[in-house]
Amino acid sequence: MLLDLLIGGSVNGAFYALLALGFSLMFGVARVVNLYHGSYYLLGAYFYYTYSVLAGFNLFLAAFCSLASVVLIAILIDKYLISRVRSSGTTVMILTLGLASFTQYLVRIVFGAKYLSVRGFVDGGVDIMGVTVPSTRLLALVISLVLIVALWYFVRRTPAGKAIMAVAQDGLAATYMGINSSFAFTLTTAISAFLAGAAGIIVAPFLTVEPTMWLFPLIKAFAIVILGGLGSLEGSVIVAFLLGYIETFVSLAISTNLREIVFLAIVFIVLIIKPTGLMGKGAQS
Amino acid sequence: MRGKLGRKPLLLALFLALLFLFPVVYDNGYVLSVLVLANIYTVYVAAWDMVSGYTGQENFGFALFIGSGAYFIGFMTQYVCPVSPWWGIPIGGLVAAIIGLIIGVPCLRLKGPYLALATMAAATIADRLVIIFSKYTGGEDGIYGVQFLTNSPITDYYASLIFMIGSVGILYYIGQSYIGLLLKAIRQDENSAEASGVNTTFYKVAAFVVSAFFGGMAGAFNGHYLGYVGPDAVLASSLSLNIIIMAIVGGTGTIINAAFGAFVLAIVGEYLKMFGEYHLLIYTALLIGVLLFMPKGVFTTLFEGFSPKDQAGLVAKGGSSHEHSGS
Repeated sequence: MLLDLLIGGSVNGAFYALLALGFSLMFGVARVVNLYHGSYYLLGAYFYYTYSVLAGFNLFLAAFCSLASVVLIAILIDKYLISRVRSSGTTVMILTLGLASFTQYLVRIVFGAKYLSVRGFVDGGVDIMGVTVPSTRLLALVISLVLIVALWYFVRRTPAGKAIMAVAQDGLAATYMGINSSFAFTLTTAISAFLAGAAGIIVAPFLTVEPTMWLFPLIKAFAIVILGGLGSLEGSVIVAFLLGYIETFVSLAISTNLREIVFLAIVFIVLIIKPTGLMGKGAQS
Repeated sequence: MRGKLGRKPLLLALFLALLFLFPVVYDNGYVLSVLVLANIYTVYVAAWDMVSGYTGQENFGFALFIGSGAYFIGFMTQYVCPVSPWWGIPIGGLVAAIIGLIIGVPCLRLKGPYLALATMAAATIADRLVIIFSKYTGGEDGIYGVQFLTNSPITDYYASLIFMIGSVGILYYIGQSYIGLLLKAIRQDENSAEASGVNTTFYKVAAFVVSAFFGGMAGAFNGHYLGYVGPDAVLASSLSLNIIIMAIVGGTGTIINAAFGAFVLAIVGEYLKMFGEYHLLIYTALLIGVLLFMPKGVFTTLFEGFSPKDQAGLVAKGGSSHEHSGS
């Protein structure tokens, strides 16, 4: 039971962290709440299905092509649609929510409303101290952790990453220091789409691939980022894992059905008690 | 004042007269049912606009209020006794108003994305609860047997028309009164409004409760009209999204423009169904187009065209504040 909780919770937590990090970065850098984020995840899974099952590519090539496609779409949407309304936060939220619905309906027309299944990179299970864990889940955990560490290294140690964080701290000052902020927006969009798309690919083999799959991950990423304090990457990771464990605990101890309710109830209560999030430094409107 | 409004009141009167005469000229059950739903949607959106358009605090979970009004009637029908529409609709409104108060007091400290998330979470919790406790709520299938509004499509139509005109009229009146002005002041700059001695929290919560009341009444109305209460009709998150779409397409912050947006889009949405599975795709594409090319909304842009004296909305603001200080 405890081991189940530990492993299941870690897998969930790492997956949520992957989704939430891009969302958080996007908010921190561009100051927009991008509700299209869940659709990157959906597109990642559907492109992976297209390339691996329909086109019959080798799985690694399929994953690579899917990520490239998702990132390309994300950059195009950001450059030609979101950038036009970026000055109004609400309009961005509604536009991206509209785009997400549009994508959902488009995907439903192209692929149908049915559940699709894709093959994972690995088969079988791994035995960890008496608990058999499906390899695909373990691989999802490992890849997520690697990506999280890579992102941390990127934003803290490389010049391009530091430039992004500088824009996040103070866009105007960063511009004065010679940082190209529109390039920072594009790079952030690419990174966040990459992370969410990767999440879609690695969980596609063991979660359902269907047209509404974007909604709950979106709400969760949104919630995690807000509870972790808008713009705080560390806060997002901590809250993601915390919620991963709580959800796994609820589904193991009580019922899978209640998982989402408990999650949303926590979100609601935290927002009311501490509107700036658990690790927020204070709201800046 | 006449200069400010231009030909708008005349057009509005003409439009309403047309709606009243419509069944006499063209009595078609299907068309009437489309118009009834359009009337109900108009009330949803006008009620949403009361909070979200005026104070700029977008409610992303408005279906919660609609659903609580409708489901209360459903539960009454199933567990206590069938309720007549005369009682059901106002009671549904009151129940939603109470829920609005409970949710509104804690939520309205939140702003922008925080409020969006909180309202979205609250509505999704309700939606999930209905599915989880499907033994009592009917789950996806909902509750049948709610007493019908009236016995004929024509009286249904007139009931919905009167309900719509009454609700939108009251909401518009509140919006035009000093309360609307205060709410707009809160949108512009809440701190300044507070500093000028306006109890901003009180007015925000009051607007939330009024908005919830009309949302709940319209939800109960919908329940009585369909004889049925279910998540797809009154609680789904797609309903909340649809309400936002309609208000944005019409133009927020004036009640009337958003209401027009709802009325027209509800009809357009219904007739787009002839495109089969493409209809929702076209519908959302329409929204995206409006957001990109007419960010103020179709009707706000159109009506500005009707009254040329109203330059860039500046005169309208000055005019309305003058009007209020005079009254």
